[in-house]
Amino acid sequence: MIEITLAFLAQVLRISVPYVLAALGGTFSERGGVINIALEGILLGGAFGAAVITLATGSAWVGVLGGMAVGMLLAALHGVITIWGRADQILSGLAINMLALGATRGGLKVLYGSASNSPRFEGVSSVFEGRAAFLQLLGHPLFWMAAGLVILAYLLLFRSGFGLALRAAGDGPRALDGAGLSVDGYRFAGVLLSGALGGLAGTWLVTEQHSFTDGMSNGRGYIALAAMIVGKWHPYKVALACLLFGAAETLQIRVSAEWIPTQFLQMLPYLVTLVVLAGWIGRAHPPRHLGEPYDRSGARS
Amino acid sequence: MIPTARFVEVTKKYGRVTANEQVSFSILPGEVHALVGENGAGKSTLMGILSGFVRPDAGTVLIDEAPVRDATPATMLRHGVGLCAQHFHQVPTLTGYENIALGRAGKRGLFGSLRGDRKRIRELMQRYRLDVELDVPVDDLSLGERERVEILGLLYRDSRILILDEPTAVLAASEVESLLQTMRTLAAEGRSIIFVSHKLPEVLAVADRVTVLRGGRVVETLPRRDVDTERLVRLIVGGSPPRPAQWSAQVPGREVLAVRDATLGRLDGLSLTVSEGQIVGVGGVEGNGQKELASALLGYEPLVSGEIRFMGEPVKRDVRKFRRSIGVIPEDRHREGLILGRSLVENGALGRHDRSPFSSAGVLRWDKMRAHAAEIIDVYGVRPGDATLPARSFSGGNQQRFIAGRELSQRPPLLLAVHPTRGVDLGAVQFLHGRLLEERARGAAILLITADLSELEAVCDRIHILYRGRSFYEAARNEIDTDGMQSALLGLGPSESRR
Repeated sequence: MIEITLAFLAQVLRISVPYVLAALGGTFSERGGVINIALEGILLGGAFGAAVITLATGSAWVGVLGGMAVGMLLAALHGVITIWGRADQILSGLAINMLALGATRGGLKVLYGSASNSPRFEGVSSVFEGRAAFLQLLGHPLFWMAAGLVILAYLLLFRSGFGLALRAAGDGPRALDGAGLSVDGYRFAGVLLSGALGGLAGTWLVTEQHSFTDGMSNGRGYIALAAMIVGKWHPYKVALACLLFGAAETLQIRVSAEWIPTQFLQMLPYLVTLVVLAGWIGRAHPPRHLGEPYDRSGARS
Repeated sequence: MIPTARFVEVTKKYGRVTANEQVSFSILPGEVHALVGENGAGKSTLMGILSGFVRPDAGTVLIDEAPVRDATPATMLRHGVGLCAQHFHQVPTLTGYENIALGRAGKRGLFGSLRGDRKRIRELMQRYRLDVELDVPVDDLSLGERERVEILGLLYRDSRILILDEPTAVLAASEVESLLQTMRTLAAEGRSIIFVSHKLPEVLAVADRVTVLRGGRVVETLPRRDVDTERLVRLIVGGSPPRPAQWSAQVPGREVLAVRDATLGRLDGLSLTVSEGQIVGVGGVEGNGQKELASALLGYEPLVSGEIRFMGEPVKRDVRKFRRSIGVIPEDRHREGLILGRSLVENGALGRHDRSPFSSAGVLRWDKMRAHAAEIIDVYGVRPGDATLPARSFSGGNQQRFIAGRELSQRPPLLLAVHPTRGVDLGAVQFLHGRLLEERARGAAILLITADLSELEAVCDRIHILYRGRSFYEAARNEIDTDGMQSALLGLGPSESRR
């Protein structure tokens, strides 16, 4: 019984890790005022980057850095387009998602001559490889990295000068500008952080699977955004929301279809998000200037 | 004396609108320099230029006689310029303390303590008697409190050129007094204070010199001893001053609005009535239930208990219908009164755009909308007189004139006017007062919520002073005694009903 429970728990956590990482990424971006739909593409790009770099260098940890770097590259593109190019943030995000999908697909072909997947590789692995699922997870450095990042994200957002300025960029950019700090700069930093975290989330996916497969992000970036909203842009709550979504997904895998149609469980994260958006379980207030490019001499107010 | 700041032939245009033209004057150390002029005279734009938010098209700003090129808020801050904007530059979700410390956020280590300067801020609070709660989000503070946070922020950064843009517009009389005092103290320390205001008595009470702007140009800069109210008004309006509106006795008709035992938030059992041809004023220090009263009447929040009756019928589920049958000059013209990005043509039809004459069979009648906006602009003296410009390119006073025009053109049976003359120039104040009195003569019932006691005395038939959510002082026009009203603001003095 305990074994089953632990195995279940391990699966919930494993499924939740990429959500947590990506949702924390979204939180940094949106707290600064930039909507980051591009997370889906960043996840995919990060996964691809991690696979390619690991295969090329043979080093799992260099691969992790590669995944984060590709994530940051895509995020930087999103940042430049939306912050300095003042483009619509949703459109830019969608474009980057399509770009990531096409580029990784093309990359697979060019690099590995395959339409579907990369060669197998060993990524960062657990110190308890081959043991029981729960133990294996506890021995995984990336798992502890994700857990630590939740706390770090909280400290950074709410206990540091950087976080204060970042939140100001989203909630009152004019005040930040008036205080002599760069609104665009902080926003870009938030977007870059989201790229690093999203890339790390992709790295986790590809590490779990030991190979990159076409379109493997499979909507996880969007689920992470949903968790970010349910968690009200607060790292701890965001992590909890991710666990909730992870649990729903685990149930869907484990519970036989005779009990509940799996489609229903698949819907769950989105249903919860809708409920939260509608304000039925405590209203979620997005950052006040989310989605607006900052214009110093804009309004007369 | 070497000026701390000097404008040299500064020009700024917004598309077709000229905000500043060839503006030149200087600010000296240790002086309170008042900047006066009608709405749209270019005061706020000029202060935007000095604080680095607005880039001039031509001309130079000198600080300590050295030209500052390509100024940003950051460079101006380094030069010691601090702006207390009319619509505060604050992060509403952050506490007062965090807002003040925001400027230092980038200059600390990643996790450098944000608490280190608490002591210094406390000292500033005491020295300048700027008492305010610093550990709650500024969103939860009154406008007066938010202003104190803003000024503390300027002092914390040790600004030596302080720009106060309409700082007294949101304050009660007692708060104004202490702010003027603070300004004098700051100037005595050698700082330059630029005091942008429409309130001439305050200007004359505190300023060392006065610069008058009209139509974006400097009319004159004068020492305080060379001006009096009359001269100043002449310079501001460029001719003889408008006549103050005249109240005359009139018998009220039947009751239009009745509020009974209204309780909501800080509102605690308020009762009042307004009849046809009557202006009822509600005054008091901000935060004594005025906001909740307006909110309940506008249907934003239902009363916790009590009742609102309109034409004898209780207003309950049909709040929307009620809202559409009355005229409203809302407190926050930017959020509730206008769609800033849309033209006056569209704003002029707002709320009635789906009815005749602005719509027929569901299709907008642009010709009628244009004609309507043009008429409002004409009758209410909105400048610049171009209805195709978006609402945001008009100054506050002109926006207010336009809103008043839109609301009154419906000839509503009831008008709710919330701080209608806040931050509005003298000409516009007297014009709006005149319009309110004309509507009253027509038979409209008017509920006027204001923090300005002279406004209550100028136009009201009956006044209520709110204190802690109740009508603490109530008087008919001929029974008003100014002292009683003043002390009622603070909850002092006899509270017996004076019906």
